[in-house]
Amino acid sequence: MLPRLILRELDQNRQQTAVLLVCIALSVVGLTALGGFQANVREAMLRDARQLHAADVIVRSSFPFLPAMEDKLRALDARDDVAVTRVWEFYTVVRTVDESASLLSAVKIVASGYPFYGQVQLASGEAFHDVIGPGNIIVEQSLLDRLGLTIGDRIFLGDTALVIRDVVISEPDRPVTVFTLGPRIFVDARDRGRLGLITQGSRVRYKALVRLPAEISPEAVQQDLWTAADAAQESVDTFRSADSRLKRFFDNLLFFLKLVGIFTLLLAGIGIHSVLSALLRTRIKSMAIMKALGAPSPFILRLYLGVVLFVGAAGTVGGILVGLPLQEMLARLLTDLIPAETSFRIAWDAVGESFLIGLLAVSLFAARPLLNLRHFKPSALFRHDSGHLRLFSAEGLTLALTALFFIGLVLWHLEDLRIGAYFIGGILALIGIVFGSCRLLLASLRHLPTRHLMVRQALRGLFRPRNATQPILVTLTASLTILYALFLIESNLDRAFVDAYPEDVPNVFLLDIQRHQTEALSRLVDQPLDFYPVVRAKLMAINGQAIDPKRERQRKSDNLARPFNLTYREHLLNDEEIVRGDALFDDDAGRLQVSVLKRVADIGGIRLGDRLRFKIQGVPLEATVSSIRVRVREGLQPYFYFVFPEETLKAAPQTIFTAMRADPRDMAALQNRIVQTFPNITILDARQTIRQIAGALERFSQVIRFFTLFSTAAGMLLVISSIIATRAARIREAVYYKILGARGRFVFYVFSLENFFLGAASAFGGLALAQLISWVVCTRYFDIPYAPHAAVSLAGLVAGILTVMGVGLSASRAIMRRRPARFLRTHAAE
Amino acid sequence: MTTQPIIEARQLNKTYSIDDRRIQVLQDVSLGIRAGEFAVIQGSSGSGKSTLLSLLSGLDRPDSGTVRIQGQDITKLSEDDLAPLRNRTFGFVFQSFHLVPSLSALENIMFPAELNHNPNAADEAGKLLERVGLAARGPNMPHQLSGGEQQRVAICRALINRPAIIFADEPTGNLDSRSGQAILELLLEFQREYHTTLLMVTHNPAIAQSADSRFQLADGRLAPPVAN
Ligand SMILES: Nc1ncnc2c1ncn2[C@@H]1O[C@H](COP(=O)(O)OP(=O)(O)OP(=O)(O)O)[C@@H](O)[C@H]1O
Ligand SMILES: [Mg+2]
Repeated sequence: MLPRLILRELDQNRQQTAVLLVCIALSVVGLTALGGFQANVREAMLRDARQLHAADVIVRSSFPFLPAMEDKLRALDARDDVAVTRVWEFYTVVRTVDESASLLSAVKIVASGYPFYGQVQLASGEAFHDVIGPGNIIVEQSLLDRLGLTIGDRIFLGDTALVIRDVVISEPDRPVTVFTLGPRIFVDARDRGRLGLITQGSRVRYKALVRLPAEISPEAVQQDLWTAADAAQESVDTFRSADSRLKRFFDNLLFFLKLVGIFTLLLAGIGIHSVLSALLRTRIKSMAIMKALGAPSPFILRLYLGVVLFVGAAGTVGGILVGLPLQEMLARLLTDLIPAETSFRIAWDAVGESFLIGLLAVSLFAARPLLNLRHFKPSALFRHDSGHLRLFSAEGLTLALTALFFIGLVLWHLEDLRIGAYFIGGILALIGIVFGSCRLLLASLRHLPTRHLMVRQALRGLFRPRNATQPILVTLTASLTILYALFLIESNLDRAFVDAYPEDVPNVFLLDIQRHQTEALSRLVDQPLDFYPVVRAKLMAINGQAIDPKRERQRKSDNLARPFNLTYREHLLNDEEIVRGDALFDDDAGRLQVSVLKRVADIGGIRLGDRLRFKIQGVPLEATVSSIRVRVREGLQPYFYFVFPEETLKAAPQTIFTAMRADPRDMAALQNRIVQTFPNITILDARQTIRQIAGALERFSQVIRFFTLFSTAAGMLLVISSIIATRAARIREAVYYKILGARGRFVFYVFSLENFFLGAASAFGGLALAQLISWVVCTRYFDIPYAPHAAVSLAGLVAGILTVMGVGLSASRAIMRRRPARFLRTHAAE
Repeated sequence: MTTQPIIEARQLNKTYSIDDRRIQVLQDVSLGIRAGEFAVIQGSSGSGKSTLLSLLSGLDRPDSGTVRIQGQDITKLSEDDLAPLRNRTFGFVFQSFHLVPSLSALENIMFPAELNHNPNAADEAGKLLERVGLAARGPNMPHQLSGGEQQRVAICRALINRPAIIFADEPTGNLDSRSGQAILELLLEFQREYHTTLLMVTHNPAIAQSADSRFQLADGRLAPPVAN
């Protein structure tokens, strides 16, 4: 008998069953796809961190290693079981031997032994070591294409001609090809001496790679090397600690996706709970009758448990079936953006996780209304309007379980106790605020005196018994808050990254300019140029408090232990404003001064008057903060965290660069003219970089939008289901209005107004909260400037209100044109 | 009788279909009721009484046949054209009361008058409540009233616009015999006082005896009217 009754229940509540199914399926689809995507990205990023760095320990510097470090490295190399090799990387312009074409390229000089882990794959299929050698280079295919060369041709690096021997397909320690400025060229270290001239003028990154046997811990070697390192310019990392900007970018992306995942789950959970409650609410009568006929509570419990489990299993399986192909699709969308050697697989653990979470969430969210069934008295039969039925009273245990489940989930997903705690606190505060303000609003509406009949009916409608206006209002507001917040955060991420590249930004950067070349260069390009001197330095201490490199590396935003570019000038740039202090520098301060960008001031908690100690190529320099600046526009304009007065830094070792805008059609001619006149100057054609970055970010925002869509769908469903839940009560009321002589228009207006109250209250409240949440997340977590996006917000507001009204009205549309008798018969008895 | 009937039905047919089965509930029903009359419809359970009442009052549409109210055919009217008729010409009293659950007793009574833009709606509703002995129950919500009280409120609501016709479908069916008797007396009292036409479905033979005319339904067909 039980299965038959279960099927009957499902059939009689087809609409709600469908909503419940889709709710569960959606959350599972979202989680499966999201989990798979995360697993793939994470695996690609950390797959084999050793391979990504081609070594166990990496020493880096922007300058040749200092003697102390050289000694340590030599001592290490002398051991039998340890190997050390060197890598030099820099950008330079290469030319064809007939001087007809030139191209900015990323040169990587490697010594024997490189790479210790992973492989450099060549088009010929030969081993890297057999091909690379003195006089030979290996290049990326795009270099051949862009310069019109083939294998066997020669090109000029500086004044040295080298022979192209092969084409490189992939290299282990260059994770992503998106953010590069030019094609790769591999050069043998034995040719380094011949390239001497260019390596002096360029900004070279010096690296030493160390390979250790399994029994030596990389961390121990790191500690040892640290003792010899000059913290101002040399850094030592293990493959585990090394952090890249890219990894940071993915960290942020993954965090946002996790956020979306949790929100989706939360929305689906609320949805499941509210649909189930609504379902049970309409079944009160059936349950009462069954109980009155002697059906024991466990029987009724089993009946509804059967309903829930059936729908839960069906939804979960359906969701997984849709989620799997999605994983595949997303993986494909991202293949270009992830390291070339990555292969994608189905993340079965993510599938398993979503399956468990799906079922657990259903059982948990269903538990509360189901357990309350026990207390249910058949006497409900004798009340025509069971206004004070305690079917949905709070049940301490399940409430606590639900909370625990949710908290566990958040911690599990965020993997960070502190942020997890903030997150949970935030959500709890959100629920509290929503709940409190909904109560307040309803209480004040309840006693609102109004003479206008339609307005009064609409307000009364909010308090119609069994209407559950408060839970619906809370649900609506909470889900709209989440939806709006996701959209706002996404819009801000978009704006900060994708839209940061307007049309008129400089598209050419000229680096490594000598001081005496500035005037001649301006004349050559025929436009006035701003020259930015750059002095490389490290920040050592703030107010005597030393910078801790370990702690710095854990920051999400920027790392104060990394080398900085200092500059000197006496004026503000036109995209800057001073927010603390009177001017860039005090005229009569009588000590060394520095102006700090607000962004870095925020990171380091730097305030006006603080003392900052720098080290510039071994030379210490202490200056007092004289002003704090902000940039009023984001974009590709050059900017500097630390600006000094000219006299302070003029004598320091420096390079000079400038940014200009060139007509894209003249770009090639311009590049050739500059290279011929000033061979030491590096030309950076930013057009392609801008296009590449914008393209990559666009793709990421597509992924983000995709996941946001899931949450949106879940949220919409919630809106729909919570309104469908009040359908019966509404139709009944509409029937009464009509019998008493109201026209269709009256019914329409009253319901429109009622739904408008609901929609407007939840949309306005949701938007206000969403603005607050997004502001916190953007400024505190992502460290990007926040804009309230008034147009998007307004559109969302209108869309929210219209959806609530539309769905609400659609539930009562049928009654407007048809004769009331049939509705009277079916809905009278409930 | 020389006067034109206020309710006149001709050849009413009504069938319901469930899946593929069709059930003929009313078959060629014709009748006439004069203004000011107290008429009763009788018949066994399931004979089609409620169905007939809903056709005569425009709450449902017949498959064929016509219903004329004060000479006007209402079967072709749209829902909106029926609205003023339901508001001013008809009053309804149902077995299960059907009070608007979100409105208080007083507001339920006022509602039809307010729809009719009657500025004295509150006063008149208050007087009616007093008349049925529920003056103190005005602010109560329907679920805070007993069945008999709810039905008295429903009667006040049916009367507030002084309708020409009151349709009552077993108004005492959900009440014990004493409060049922009280409700019936109340209805008849108002009927006489306002000269309202009262068409009532009832199982009570004593009441039927006192009616001006009686209609007997059996298996969807009407037996010849019996005049008392
Ligand atoms: N919507 C419907 N669909 C199918 N059959 C219906 C529908 N409404 C009524 N019926 C059938 O029509 C017949 C007449 O119903 P009606 O409610 O008019 O009877 P009644 O005479 O008022 O009975 P009672 O005295 O029990 O109220 C019944 O057999 C009923 O089963
Ligand atoms: Mg009946």
